[in-house]
Amino acid sequence: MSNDAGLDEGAQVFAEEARELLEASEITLLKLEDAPTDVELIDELFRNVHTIKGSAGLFGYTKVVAFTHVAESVLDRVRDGEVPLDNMLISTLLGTRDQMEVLVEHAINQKELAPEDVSEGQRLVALLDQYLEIPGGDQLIETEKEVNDPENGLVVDGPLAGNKNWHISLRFEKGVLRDGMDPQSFFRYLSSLGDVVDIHTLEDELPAFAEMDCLDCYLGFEIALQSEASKSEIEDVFEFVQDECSIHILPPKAALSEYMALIDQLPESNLMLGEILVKSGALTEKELEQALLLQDAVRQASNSADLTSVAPIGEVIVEQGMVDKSTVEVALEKQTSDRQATQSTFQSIRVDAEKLSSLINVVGELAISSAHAELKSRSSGDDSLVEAIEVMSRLVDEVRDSTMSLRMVQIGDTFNRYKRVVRDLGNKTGKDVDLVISGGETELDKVVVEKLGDPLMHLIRNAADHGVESPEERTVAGKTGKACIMLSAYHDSGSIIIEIEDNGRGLNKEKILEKAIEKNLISSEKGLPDNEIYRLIFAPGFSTADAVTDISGRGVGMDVVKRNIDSLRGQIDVLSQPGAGTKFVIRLPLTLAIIDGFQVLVGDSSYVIPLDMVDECIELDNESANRKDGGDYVDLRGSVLPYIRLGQQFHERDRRTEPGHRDNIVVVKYAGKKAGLVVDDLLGEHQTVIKPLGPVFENLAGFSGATILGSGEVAMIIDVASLVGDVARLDKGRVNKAANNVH
Amino acid sequence: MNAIVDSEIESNNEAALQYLTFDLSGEVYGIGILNIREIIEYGDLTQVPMMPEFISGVINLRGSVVPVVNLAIRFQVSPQRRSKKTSVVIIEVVEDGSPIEIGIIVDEVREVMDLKAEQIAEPPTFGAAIRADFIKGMGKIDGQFMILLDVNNVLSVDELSVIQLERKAINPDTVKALDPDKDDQKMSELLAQQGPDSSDSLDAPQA
Repeated sequence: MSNDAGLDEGAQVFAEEARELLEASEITLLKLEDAPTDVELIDELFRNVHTIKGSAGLFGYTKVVAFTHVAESVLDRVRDGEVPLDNMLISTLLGTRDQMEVLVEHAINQKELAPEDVSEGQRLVALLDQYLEIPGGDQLIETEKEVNDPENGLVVDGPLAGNKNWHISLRFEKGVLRDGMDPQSFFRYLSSLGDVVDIHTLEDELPAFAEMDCLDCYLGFEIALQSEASKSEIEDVFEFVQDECSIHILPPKAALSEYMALIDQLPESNLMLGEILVKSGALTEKELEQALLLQDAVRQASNSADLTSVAPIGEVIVEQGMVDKSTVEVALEKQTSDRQATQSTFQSIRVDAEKLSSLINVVGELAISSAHAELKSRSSGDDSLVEAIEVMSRLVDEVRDSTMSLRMVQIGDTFNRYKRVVRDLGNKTGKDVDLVISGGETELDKVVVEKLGDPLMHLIRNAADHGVESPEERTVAGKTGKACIMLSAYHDSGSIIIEIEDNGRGLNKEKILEKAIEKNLISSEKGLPDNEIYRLIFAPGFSTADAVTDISGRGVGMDVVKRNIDSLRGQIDVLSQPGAGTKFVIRLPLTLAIIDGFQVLVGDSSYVIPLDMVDECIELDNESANRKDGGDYVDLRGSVLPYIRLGQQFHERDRRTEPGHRDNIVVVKYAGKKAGLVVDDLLGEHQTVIKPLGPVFENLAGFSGATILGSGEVAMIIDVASLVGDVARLDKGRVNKAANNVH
Repeated sequence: MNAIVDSEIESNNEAALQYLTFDLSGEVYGIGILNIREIIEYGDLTQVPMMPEFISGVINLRGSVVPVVNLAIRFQVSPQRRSKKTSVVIIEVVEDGSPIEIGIIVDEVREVMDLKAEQIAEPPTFGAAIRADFIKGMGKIDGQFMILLDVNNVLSVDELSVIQLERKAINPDTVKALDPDKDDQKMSELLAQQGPDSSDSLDAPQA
């Protein structure tokens, strides 16, 4: 979002809305591919495109409007059943969507389009135009067209005005400027529909200067527009302000009586309005005279005849204008319902991320001080105080939980983006690939989701490009022709796991080894277990693809993926079965700002272990602590539990010699494995606000952050997965070294 | 980084020539006050394992976790003595365009001095007690030279964030998470018994 800086607020709202709608359109298009006749989906797509066009017009982004208009017209025909929605058209529409995205981004950043973008736009318009040329024949549309057609619409008795311009009367309500609508933007949009021949500004409403509120809009406008557009198209221009202004639109060559009705309806004096109409060229002097005569005649008639038998002029006019009015009403109703539908899908409030993180910070402090207050109240021995504080801290916990959930988003939206990627890649490479998504409702911190986008994209492209085989190859291998990539997310003991699994050919072990030796990553293949070999693909500059395609294979992939995952304090692993497929497992810590922690004492320092990771606590008995073989492990109900002495690991003061000292083991579990952490004392649960450690500690592994204890001291938060991983690697190095020394 | 500081000097000549002076292991140093956020009492320091020795630990600065650097170890000069006057000066440096706060432990804060441009000499190319790139200039007051520090080099995040791969020897003298009152009490007892020179050293000297 940083590129939005400097945009005014309105444009920013447009940018966000347009991006959201474009994203939604993509998903809808992909759904339509499976259900091309789903009327609701088609309607939704049409609405999205229509809204983008409308709001782009408001901001004067003419390129977006012009291009989107073509897409909208095609979609309109699809909606009316004139054009079948086949795969060809969906592909074209997906391309159109992309092009809209390009246009929108360029428009809001006020950049010129690159030549290739321009030619892509022309190509798409040409493709879309073909669909507009297919003759359609829906009866309903025909009649609607007739009504909208100014030439033979409104069949009204009586004299017609001679001019060929639309006449639009606009009276804005005072609040229109406050709501961010600038009347000028409507004129700008209007001028994209045709020539604005004349604008007359009415300033009668302007109060005396001293009473004027500069934030209010007091103006009215009489506009003459020369355009081929239909009435509904002109109404669309004002769609966003129709609640805040009164609009009267008269088609070219409208009945004089309509002009009279208009004059009657408007608040200004009839004579003045008449003059304006003449001035703007809507009516000639003669026509005005005629109109006034007509009005007089009607009045006389109503005067002379029985008052009840003759309808007042307004009604007569309404009767005369009936045909058009009802269409307008139907159209208005439809627009309102459209808008309600769009709004219900995005019932959310936009909040500045900055505000959110400061709220989370304060709630964190609140949680700490509430824990502190609870502690103090207990030691005070005042029962009523304890009770009161307990009620309060329960509420604080609730506040904390709901605040944290504000930042959580479902990963499903991100996952859905890849459907398109897989679809396009499949088409390009001639493979039949299905992307199966599960666990899309798993919630992650928004920051994590955003940073996860690129690495996941890379893995999925790789899977689609290299991982799965062509249908022919698959048939030879005795597999189904359709390949499958599974993308899933789930929670596992305080971590989030994301898996990308394909049922393709699997990693080629020999090729990886060959390449690794060639690139001097390893000296020989001797003694490397399979999973270590597979892990070599994460080394920088490593690629086994024979051909560099424009999709992947440049060898800058997997190491970047690994770095990205590392930066989220996560881990990535790869499993593979020759001929059966490859599976990447990404494990991410729950980088919530607040977690439940388990506080322990090591030496003189407090450390915090995420409570989700803690399984149980046991005592380290003397025998296990001093094994003859020197091994660091205990017997945990029959299974071997390796442990790490945190005191040694963190170079804390050794307290083992102190009288009465007992070592405790905190049994932690991660990735389905268990390990023990030896600590000097167990201090119990602690509400932990994770404070980032900052760039000075960026290379420090084993800690996911720091927290501030009730006493104001800082305690480090242990990142169990990276700590145990680190120790395991160091140990392995040590054992290998020792083994080498023996030889 | 230096460019930023230089431009600040140009645009804000008066302030840039004001320096906070402090004692460190018997030597007087100066830091441009534009870099200084605040000065706080020394105490409640939490050690961070596996960091270079000159990172003494982290402190809680109104809810943020701020690293604290032991300049004596960073400069490889004789170790500091801890006293009531030991303070932490919070300094702001710019890393990747965003400001970060880092504390330094000083023996005693002296005063803010105004230095005229002609009172500041070029740093010596060699012969200084500390690394040449740590020195921004030499201030001359009453015929005495004072080292003006280049904080962006002294507190270079690239150097501070280097992980200590070799395990540090566990030094029982390393004191962390101090309780200032208790320490002061202990200190005054020690001072009474043995005189000022034998108070325990704040951090282990560089091995």
